[in-house]
Amino acid sequence: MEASQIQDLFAGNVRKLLAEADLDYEKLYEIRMRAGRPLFLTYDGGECFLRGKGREPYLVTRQDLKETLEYVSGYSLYAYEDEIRQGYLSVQGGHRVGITGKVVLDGDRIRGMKYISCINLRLAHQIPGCADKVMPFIRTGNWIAHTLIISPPRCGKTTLLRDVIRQISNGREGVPGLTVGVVDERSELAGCYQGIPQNDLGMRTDILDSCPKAEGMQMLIRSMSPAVVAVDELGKEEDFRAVESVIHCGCKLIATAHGNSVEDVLRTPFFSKLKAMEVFERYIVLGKEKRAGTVMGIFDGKGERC
Amino acid sequence: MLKNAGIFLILLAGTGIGYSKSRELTFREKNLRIFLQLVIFLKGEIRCGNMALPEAFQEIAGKLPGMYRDLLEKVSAELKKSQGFSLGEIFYRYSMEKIRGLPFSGEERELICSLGGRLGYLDREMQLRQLDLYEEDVLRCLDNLRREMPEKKKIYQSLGIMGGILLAVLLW
Repeated sequence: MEASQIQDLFAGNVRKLLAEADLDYEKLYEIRMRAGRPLFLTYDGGECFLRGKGREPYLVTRQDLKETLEYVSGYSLYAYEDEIRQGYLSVQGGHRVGITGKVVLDGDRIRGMKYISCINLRLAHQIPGCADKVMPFIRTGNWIAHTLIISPPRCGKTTLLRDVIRQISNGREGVPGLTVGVVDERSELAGCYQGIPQNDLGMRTDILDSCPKAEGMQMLIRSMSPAVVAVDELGKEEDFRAVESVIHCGCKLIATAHGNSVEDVLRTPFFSKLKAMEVFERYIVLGKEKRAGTVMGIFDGKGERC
Repeated sequence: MLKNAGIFLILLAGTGIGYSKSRELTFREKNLRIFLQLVIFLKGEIRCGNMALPEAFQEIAGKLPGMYRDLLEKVSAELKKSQGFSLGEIFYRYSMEKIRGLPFSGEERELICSLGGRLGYLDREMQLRQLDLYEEDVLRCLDNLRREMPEKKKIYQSLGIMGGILLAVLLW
């Protein structure tokens, strides 16, 4: 990960502090700017402030936020209108910039955001090989399980899914690679920047960037004939039909969902319908026991530990 | 003989000055037309490609000749560096540098340099409206110039010739 690429996203003052701080960017997960508040870093599993000259925590100004937003959007906020409406935008390197402020409504519809008061840069981390332990449960020979990866936020489900996709796509020793179709609704998996994936998702992976999951899954099936379809954060009502069409056309589905346990996820109306249809053959539950991404358990379709 | 040659040279110089001034008008008209084209390209890139400005400038630079290509490439590179200046400042600085010494009028100079200040709005619709307004300003400037041009060209040329003759008569 290039430090200058990340520093250049921030306003001059913050950039200087980041350059002066001795940071290992592989351990840096978030940089959070809130107007009038200290500059927070989520670093090496903990939280810390960036400090100014007098070793006092640096307080973020509105000007810092405005300047940062200009750099993040390449001086072209209009080009990120739709992303800002959703509260985040993706930048080079596959990192995600979340923003909050006063939401401008047009009737019931979110029209935009003003008085931006918080900017949070979430750094994308690739950990090649992090799926090594779970792969034998997902894929054996030519068989691939419909898989659901479950975890609370910031426990590494997207990172795990990314590596699962890469391993299925590239294949492994004695296991051939397969065509994988990815619907990357929030540009988090591939981290596409101007259409170019910034994260390695494997050589046989086709990516539909910024496309709603439901439409995207159907588009991929129609146009790219994937063997496996992968999506992040399944759970909306409209995703249900798309999931149905994926499993009925012979494709395998690898997805993630927010939750603490299999029972927790299956209680939601969306997943209880899928449970009734016995769609998923593997559930992988992640937690944060020792560190983010710890596999808490792998379960089969009936919910029994594998 | 020498006197005749001197008179001839004075006449030639006077005429040359007149014609060179009239060619400056043609230069202004041509360059404003290219600048108008730049604004139209920019609108297209934003409307159809929803492109961010550094990329849009880079893209348009390839379609425009000489001075504007250079200007857009420099502005695009500077924007990508994001070194603490606003878009308006960056565009003003580079465009001023580019058109310094060129025969634009004060109003045209200000108009060209102010493009950066009208870009970077929060929503696309607003951005496009700003560019529509800007295009109207450039068109108005161009129309004024075109309207005055034939008359002014004739005046410059005649004044050059007449000035040369006057000087020749005075020195005779």
